[in-house]
Amino acid sequence: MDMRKTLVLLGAFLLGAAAPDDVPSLSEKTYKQWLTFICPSGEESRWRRLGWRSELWAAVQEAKALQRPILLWAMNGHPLGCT
Amino acid sequence: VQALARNFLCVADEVWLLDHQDTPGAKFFRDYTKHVPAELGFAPTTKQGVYAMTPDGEYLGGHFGRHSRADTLAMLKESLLKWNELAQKKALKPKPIPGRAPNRTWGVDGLPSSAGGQAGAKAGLILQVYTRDLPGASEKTPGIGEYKDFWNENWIDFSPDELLGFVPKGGAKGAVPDALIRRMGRECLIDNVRGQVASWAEGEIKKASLQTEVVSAKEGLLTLRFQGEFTAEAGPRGYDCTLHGKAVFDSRARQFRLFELVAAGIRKGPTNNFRLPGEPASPQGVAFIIEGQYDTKEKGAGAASPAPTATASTDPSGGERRAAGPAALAEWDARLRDLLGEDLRAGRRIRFPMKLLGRSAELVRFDTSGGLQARSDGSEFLLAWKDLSLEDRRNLAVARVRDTKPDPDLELAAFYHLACGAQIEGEGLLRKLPASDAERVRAAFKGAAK
Repeated sequence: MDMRKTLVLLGAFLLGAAAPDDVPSLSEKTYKQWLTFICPSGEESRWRRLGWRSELWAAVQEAKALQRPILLWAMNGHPLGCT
Repeated sequence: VQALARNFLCVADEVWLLDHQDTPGAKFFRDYTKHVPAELGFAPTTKQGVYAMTPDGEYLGGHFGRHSRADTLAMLKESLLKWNELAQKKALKPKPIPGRAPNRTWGVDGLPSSAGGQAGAKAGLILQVYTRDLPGASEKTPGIGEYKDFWNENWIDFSPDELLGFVPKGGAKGAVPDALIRRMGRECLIDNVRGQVASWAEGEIKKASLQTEVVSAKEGLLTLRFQGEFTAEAGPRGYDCTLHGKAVFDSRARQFRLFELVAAGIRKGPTNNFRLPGEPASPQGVAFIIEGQYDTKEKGAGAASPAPTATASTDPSGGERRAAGPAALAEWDARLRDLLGEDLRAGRRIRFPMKLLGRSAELVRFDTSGGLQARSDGSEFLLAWKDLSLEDRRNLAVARVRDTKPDPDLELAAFYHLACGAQIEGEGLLRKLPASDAERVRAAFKGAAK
């Protein structure tokens, strides 16, 4: 777990965000801490910096025009979301 | 990995659709997979993986399924070597790949069907949805083993009319329409932290409500507060959560400027992706935001990495690395680039040990957008200046010291030696310089934190 998430978690505990029965206590005061905890950190999102295209066929046309090779990441569920 | 991947046009797509649809892209993919070596070992039901290919669909390299960083790096290097040979044979002239902002993934047209959206029809509001396990009361980190840092990403899109459902009508308080919150719950309040799962069926939703309230209104901007609850159950599987959040709605533009909604509760039951039967119920969270809403400025794909800095650390050779501040490093980097540019224009050949490639390389050219081209073993590599490690820049600075050893050459090499922690080499060069020049180099390290 990265430092940012550890700090967020500590803040959430101090605000009483973790209840004894394991049900996360979500409130108007704590939602922001949980939001930060759940959303990926900058390190976890680094892969996005490659400027991913989202459809193979359009990328093939672009690669032909640019005379570049293609790197395809193909998953069950689109890797950019909906997995 | 990212430095080498920038030589390729990178694309992500849905593999089941590529393997089964009757579209040009799917046909292209299926033709490509016919040329993939058998040892890649596709599974009978899926071909998910990472694949390198020419724009004509010729196989360059690839991995089925998940692989380590080292394997990926090796695959990229090998694929790039093959591509460079082909490009040389065909006398291709690769053009720079236009950057694309890391956010705004789906553009103004909205989500395509491959991401579960209705491109064109529902681009009024697109929310990015993240799911992650939350820590239990007795845990410091959520989940177990390799799964504890897992998270997943999803999207949901709304038409311009639908998004108005989040704004109270005829008063300060209201309820978000049932159809809207039920769809959000059905599609997004799911346990996909460890992998793809099906949406809830309508009949599996036991409870779904979201209250919205205007807490302030100023110059057409309404600040809204959300509160709600959701429960779904399907046999042993279920998710029971509460929701809280805030949004800022621009009533003049009829658009949301900010959207923050969090669900937190208990998930239970197995899924078809790594949530195993017998695992106890555990806390899980879901967050909805507008993609890029916290960005202070747009960053292009080629400009997203922070500028490298020489920070205090221990050099592998045993010397203590001295810290040069970011401004000093940027200044010396600019000087190094200028002098290397002059070297190339003068026809000098700069050969240097390139850490990134793990072998010797020759600098071929710079371009104005910060790219550089290096040649190694007959292949050429396109890289960004920022991909070069401090050690690579040191090696360049040292490689360009001319036989006559002019002061500016030594000064530059001394700076990078010191920045890399090579005290003996750095100080050795500084002793050959006039005192004022040597002091200028040492000044770059004064006042910077170690």
